[in-house]
Amino acid sequence: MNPYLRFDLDFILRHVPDFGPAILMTLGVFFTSLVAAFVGGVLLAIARQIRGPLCWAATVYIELMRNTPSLLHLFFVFFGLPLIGIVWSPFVCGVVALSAQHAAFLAEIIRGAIQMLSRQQREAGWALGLLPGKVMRYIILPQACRNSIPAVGNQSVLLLHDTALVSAIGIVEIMLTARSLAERSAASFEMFVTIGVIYLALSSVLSLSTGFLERYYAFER
Amino acid sequence: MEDFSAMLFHMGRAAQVTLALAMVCVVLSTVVGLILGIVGMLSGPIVSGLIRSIVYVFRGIPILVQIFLVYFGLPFFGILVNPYTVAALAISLHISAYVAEIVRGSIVSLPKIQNEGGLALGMMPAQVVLWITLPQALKAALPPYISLVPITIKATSLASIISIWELTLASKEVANQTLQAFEVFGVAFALYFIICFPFTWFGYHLEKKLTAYSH
Repeated sequence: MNPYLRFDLDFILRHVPDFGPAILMTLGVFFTSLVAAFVGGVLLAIARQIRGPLCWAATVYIELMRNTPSLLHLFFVFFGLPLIGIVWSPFVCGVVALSAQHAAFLAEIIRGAIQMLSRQQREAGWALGLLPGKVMRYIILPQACRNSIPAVGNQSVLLLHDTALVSAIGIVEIMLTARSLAERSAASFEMFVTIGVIYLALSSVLSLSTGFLERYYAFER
Repeated sequence: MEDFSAMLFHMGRAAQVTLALAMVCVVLSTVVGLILGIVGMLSGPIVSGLIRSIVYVFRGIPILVQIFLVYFGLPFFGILVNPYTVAALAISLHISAYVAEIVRGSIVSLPKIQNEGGLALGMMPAQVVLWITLPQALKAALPPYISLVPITIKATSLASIISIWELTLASKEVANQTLQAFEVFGVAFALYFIICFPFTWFGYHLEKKLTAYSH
C-alpha cells in the first residue's frame, strides 16, 4: 500500500453534483443512438430479406461495421467527414458513429429473430391476401421485435458502454467529466472508481428493465 | 504516391502492435475466463456467488473505464507497470468475464441426463465433469468464444487512449500529419477488417456446422 495516498472519500462526495449533467449527457447520447440504431437495424434487417443488390449492400455494410472498432468510427466521422465538407457538432458525430455501428449489430439480431419465426406465419399472411410488405409490417416484424428483446437489451448495454468513447471527441459526459476532474486532482483512482460504480448502476438498471419488458411482452400460453 | 506507401508501411507496423496486444489479451482472457467459468460451476454457493459477482462487475463496467481503473489503480496500491501491461490486463479482465459467462452458459444448458448417465455408469463426479460435461460444454461454447476474438481485437483500439501506439493511434497521428484523414482512416478500417473478418467468418461457419448436427 502506498503510504502517501489514501482513498479520498471526501473528494468524491464533494464532486458528486458535477456528475448530474454528465449522466444526463451520457443518457442523451445513449437514447438518441439507441433509437437511431434500432430504426437503422430494422431497415437493414428488412433489406437483407429482399433478394437483390440491396441485400448485398446491407450485408457488406453490416460486416464492415461489425469488424471495425467504434473508436475508429468516431474518429472517421469527427476528423474525416469535415474534409469532404460535412461538419457536425461533436454530439451529432458521436450519435451518428455509434448508431451507424450498432445498427449493424441490431440488424443481425433482428434478422435472426425473423428467421426464427416459422414459415407458416408468412404463408398465413399471404393466404389472408396481404401484400409482402404488409406481411412484414403487421405479422413478421412485431413478433420478431418482441422475440429479440433480450438480445437487444444485451446490445444496448454494450451501446451504453460505447458512449464512454465519445469522451474522445470532446463530449462532456461521465467519462470526460471524470478525466478532467482526475487531471486537476490527485484523486484519479477515486474518480474512476466512482464512475465505475455509476456505469455499473446504469447497466444494471438497463438489464433489469430489459427483463421487465421481456416479461411484459411474453407470450400468454 | 511515395507518401502513400510510407503511410501503409507505418500503419502496417501499427497493425502488428494491435495484433500482438490482441493475442496476449485473447490468451490471458481465455485462461482466466475458463478458470472462472469452470471453478464457478464446480464450487459451493459462496465461491460461485463470489465469482458470479466478479463477472457481473467486470461485464457491467465499460472497458475504457476499466483501463483507467487499472492505470490509476495499480500505482494506488504501489504497483508500477508500463501502459502495455495495463491495457493487456484491463482488456483481458473484461473479456475473461465474457468467456466465463459463455462457459457457464454452455455448462448450464447441457441436459441433466448427461450427468446422471455418467453417474449411473459408475463414474466419480470429477470423472463425469472431465469426460462428459466439459467436452460437450466446451464444444457448444466454441462459436460464441470465437466471436469474442474480433471483439477483443476491436477492444485493443481503446488502448490508444492511454497513448499506446497501435493501429487507432497511428492512424490518428498520420491523419493529423498528412491531413488526409479520409484515406488514412479508410486504410485503418481495411486493416481492422482484414484482421477481424476471418474470425467472424469462422464463428459463423462453426455455428452453422454445430447447429446442423444438433437438430
